[in-house]
Amino acid sequence: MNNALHHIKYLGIVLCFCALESFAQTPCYFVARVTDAQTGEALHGAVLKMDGLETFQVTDSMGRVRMAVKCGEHNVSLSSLGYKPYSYRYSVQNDKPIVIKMENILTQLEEIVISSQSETRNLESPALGVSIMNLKAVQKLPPAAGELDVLRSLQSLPGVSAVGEGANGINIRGGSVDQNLILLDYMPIFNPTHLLGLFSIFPTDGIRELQLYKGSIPARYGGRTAGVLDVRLAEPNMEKFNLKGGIGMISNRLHAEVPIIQGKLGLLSSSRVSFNEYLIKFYNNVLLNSLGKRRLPNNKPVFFDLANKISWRPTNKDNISLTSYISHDSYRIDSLFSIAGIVPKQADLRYGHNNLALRWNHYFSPKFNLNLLAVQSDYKTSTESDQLKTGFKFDTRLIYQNFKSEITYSPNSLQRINAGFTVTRLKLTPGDLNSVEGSSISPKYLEVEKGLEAAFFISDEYELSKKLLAEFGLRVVRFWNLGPVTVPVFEEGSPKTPSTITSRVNINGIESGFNRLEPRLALRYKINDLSVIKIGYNRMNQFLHMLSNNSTPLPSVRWKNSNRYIPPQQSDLISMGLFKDTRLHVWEWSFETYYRWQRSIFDYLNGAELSINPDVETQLLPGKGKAYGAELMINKKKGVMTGWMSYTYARSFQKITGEYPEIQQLNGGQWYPSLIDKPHTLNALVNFQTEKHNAISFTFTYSTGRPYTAPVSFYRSGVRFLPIYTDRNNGRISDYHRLDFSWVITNPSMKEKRWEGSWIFTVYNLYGRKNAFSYFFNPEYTNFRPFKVSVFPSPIVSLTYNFKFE
Amino acid sequence: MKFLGTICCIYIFSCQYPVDLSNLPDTQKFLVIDAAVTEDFLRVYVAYSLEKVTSSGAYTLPKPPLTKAVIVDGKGVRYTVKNTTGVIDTTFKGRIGETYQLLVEVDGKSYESEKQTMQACPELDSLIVQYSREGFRSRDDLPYDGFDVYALAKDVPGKENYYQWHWTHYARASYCLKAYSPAEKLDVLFPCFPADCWNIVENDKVIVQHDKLRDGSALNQFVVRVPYSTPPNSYHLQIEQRAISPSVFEYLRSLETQTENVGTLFDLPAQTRFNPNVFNLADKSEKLLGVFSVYSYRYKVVYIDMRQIIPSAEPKVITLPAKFSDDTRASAPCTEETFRTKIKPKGWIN
Repeated sequence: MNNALHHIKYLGIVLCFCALESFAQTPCYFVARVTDAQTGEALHGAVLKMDGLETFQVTDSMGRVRMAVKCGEHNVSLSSLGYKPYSYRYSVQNDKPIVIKMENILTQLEEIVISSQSETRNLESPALGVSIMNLKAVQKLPPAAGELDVLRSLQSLPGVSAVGEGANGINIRGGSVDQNLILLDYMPIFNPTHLLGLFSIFPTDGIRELQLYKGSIPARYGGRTAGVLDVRLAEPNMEKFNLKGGIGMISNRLHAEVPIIQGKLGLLSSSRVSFNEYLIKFYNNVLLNSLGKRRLPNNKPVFFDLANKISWRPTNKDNISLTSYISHDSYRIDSLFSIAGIVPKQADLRYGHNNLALRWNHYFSPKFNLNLLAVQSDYKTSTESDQLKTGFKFDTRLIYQNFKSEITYSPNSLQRINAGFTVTRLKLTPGDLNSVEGSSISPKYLEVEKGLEAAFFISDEYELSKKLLAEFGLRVVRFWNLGPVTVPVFEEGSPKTPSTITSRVNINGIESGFNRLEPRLALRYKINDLSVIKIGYNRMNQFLHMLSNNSTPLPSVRWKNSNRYIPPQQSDLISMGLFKDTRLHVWEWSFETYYRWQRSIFDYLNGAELSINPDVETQLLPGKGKAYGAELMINKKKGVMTGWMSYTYARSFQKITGEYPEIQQLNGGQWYPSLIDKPHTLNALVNFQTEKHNAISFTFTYSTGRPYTAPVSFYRSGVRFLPIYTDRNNGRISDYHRLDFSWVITNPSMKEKRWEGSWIFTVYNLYGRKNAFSYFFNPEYTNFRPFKVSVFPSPIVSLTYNFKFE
Repeated sequence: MKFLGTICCIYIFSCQYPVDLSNLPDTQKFLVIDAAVTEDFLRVYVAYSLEKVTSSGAYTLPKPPLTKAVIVDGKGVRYTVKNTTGVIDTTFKGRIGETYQLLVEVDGKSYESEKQTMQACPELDSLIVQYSREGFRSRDDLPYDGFDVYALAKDVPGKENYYQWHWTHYARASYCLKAYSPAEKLDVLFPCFPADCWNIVENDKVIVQHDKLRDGSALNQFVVRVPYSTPPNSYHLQIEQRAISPSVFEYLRSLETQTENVGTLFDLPAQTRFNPNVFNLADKSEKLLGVFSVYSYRYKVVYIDMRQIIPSAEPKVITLPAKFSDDTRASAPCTEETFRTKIKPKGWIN
């Protein structure tokens, strides 16, 4: 005990000494607020240096930066991802803040394509496992069918994967898709894809930046156990009107920024619409005969998304923004699933988000800032079948309402405190089944589920010494599952099955509640000015679960609150990384390794019925998971040739024993690979840009095939032979690899005009590899031979025209 | 238009390619005990799973096991099963309300089923045949124009009921053998002898339903889609409706998931349900395949007129795979097989 006290005392003296030493030598402060010259938006992560020295400071989320210097004249330089470097000679006499406007230079030749973090931010921040991309970086990656795709772009980063091409969502370091918190301008997204998983739903023209947290997750984020993808929309340009868009083969885009009151009020609107249904009709009716090929089936695929943002700056200290986001998908699909045992021959599937966020940011002083946020996210799905006599309409809905208050306080240049509280209300409609006219289906409505989550969070980033920087975080969270709800009571000492339900209890108040503490820690030790070591630890809890036993979840998948039978999922992640930059910031490399433990995860019974089952607890088998891996990334950030290469070794396992292992365990109660266990992944991108009008990129990706459940024999059942499956995920599909090509021609006329066009020519899957998404045995087709499903089996050539008008 | 094709093909499951079996896990051996007791017949099938399947799909049938099987009813009356190869025994007649148990001895090991009671099956009131066009398919696909066949019945109210539907199509066999003719130097067809010979096509998908969403109300089930094609001009279809037990329903549901969604991005995990209601007496952990099903059934036969006029649709003509042999005396025997019979189908009209 004495020893511990001695250490604490010693640490206190060191902290005081470090602080005093810093203050004693610095009579003046250079204080600045850095913004985008066009939009006025605060720039986060811009790097400030003085007099060409290696020491630097980084702007915070409000664009503020503060550096202690000797009073007098200094050469001030600032750099930021996608912005022209700023350099100016400035006389620092007091700490009066100045505003520095940086020019956006998306057409600049030497630019950062992608970074684990921007420029030297990676070396400065204690956070690890954080990736930042801007729109330009996304554009560098050859898109499938010409569609810029955020999620597919992220899959080129180490530690990010998907079950396969066209899968719905991404997997981060061994987590399932529902274990990621996906935010679009602070609004949660519950289904991030259009066309059942083919393309992500983010309005790419409106995106300013993507931040992906797969390691150190700041305390202000919670509610998911694997990762956070924070997609931020740009601030509307308040100075001048601009318009941009694109005409592609899958969808067409239009993006406008309109200053309503110069410098005070602006509007951003970004939309995307697909016309595939009409293209298919046009092809079948007009082009078919001349081309002489097969008709295309018309699934009536239609989708659109629309993001609007109004920003108002009533004073220099206030920024108020209102963002709305609407997405919609509609298709007619063949008998893809069953609902309560009814397999419709065909069904119309519609789903989409209707989200709103109101945000007020107030700067009390350069040291103190308040951020208030109110969000509503409304995700709805509808599946309708007009099949004779068994027609039905099945609706689900998830409403998420959140209020968050957050302050950021920087008492001095060594410390930054972020704290706040957040309250979230959840309302789930798991399934309303209605019959349509003439149908014999009886309506059935599952009880509405309600949940309330309250959390307090604080994080303190403190520079303990010039070499050691630490960020301590804590999130205290309480979740209540609320009534009115009917809860089944199971026979004691028996597994939870429909036959062991002894009674049902009606509860009007709190059905169950959970308290959880989530410590977060990130340490950065600077070996020298260009190399750092980081260590991080996170604990995360998840109270909202997605119940899906499909390879990739259907849009109408069921979400479920934690309750007395379904405890919150919990994950602990420890990670360590080594980051190195070169003196001119041309090369950067990083090595990260991690280990993740998961508790209270679950798998499903054979033939689990999840969609409209009031006792869905009876279909789940609890267990635990583990994931570990190492990620190496080398990045060339500047020059005629830019690009990166990453290698990932990642494993993901689960052990499902159930509550009664002797009868419930899967795979003999042993650890077995999860669906996303792909040990080796290699990604590489090379981009050549010799002059500003042409850029050529190649992307190559390789990964080990994912596990699948392979038969151990076959047996005769009636007139057919059926495969026999024993252990889950006991086989592996063939390895995946693909090469893509992209050629971007910017402003081909080479004249400076208000209207500027560009063409993007891409070939996805250049050598036409038929990569497998899954293997399956279909007794309809063959007795014994497996088939593979391939999503993009041949080269896809596409051409997209983009335009910009200012 | 490749990109549109790509989008479409995901939904019509056409982006599928065969792969070889070279990396399958080692073969495991399981015993299969599959039996059915109905009001009309008894059928017992006991065999082992396949021993070896090569990458080309060739397989070795295991040696049939030494088997003795007995059916015991609720009064303790024992009936010795005559054969266990899956051949129907029409001398045995089950009774509604009676309970049956299967006892099997295989290679010296004893197995028994849970007791199963034969439930009454509600009448199969009618069959509805409705023409439709599946616009999502290619016009060249056989089922593009076709007839959807629905079974209509009324559920027995007040208790949980489980149903299965099964369809069988009989068509007069125009030939019984396709073989190379040295005289004609090509493959030719040989007519059947006797001429009263029928080809059998059965459903290979499991169609089951419970009444949880429609207790006591109308049971309407889509059963099959018949392509608008000829021959035959009059399409014979027999639909059978069975009242099955909960354990058989669960087992059949698990078989259904093996065919449901396969070949799409939304595959369900492949899984086999072992021991639905038959167990090794000495070792309950032994994994057995198959099920003991005791059911009553009702059936109806419908003929679909393929010569009927449907606006803007024409029946597809199915051509023979070769010409008939020039030797008019040559024929091939009509042998009893799973896909062919000499026995006149129920309700057959010439």
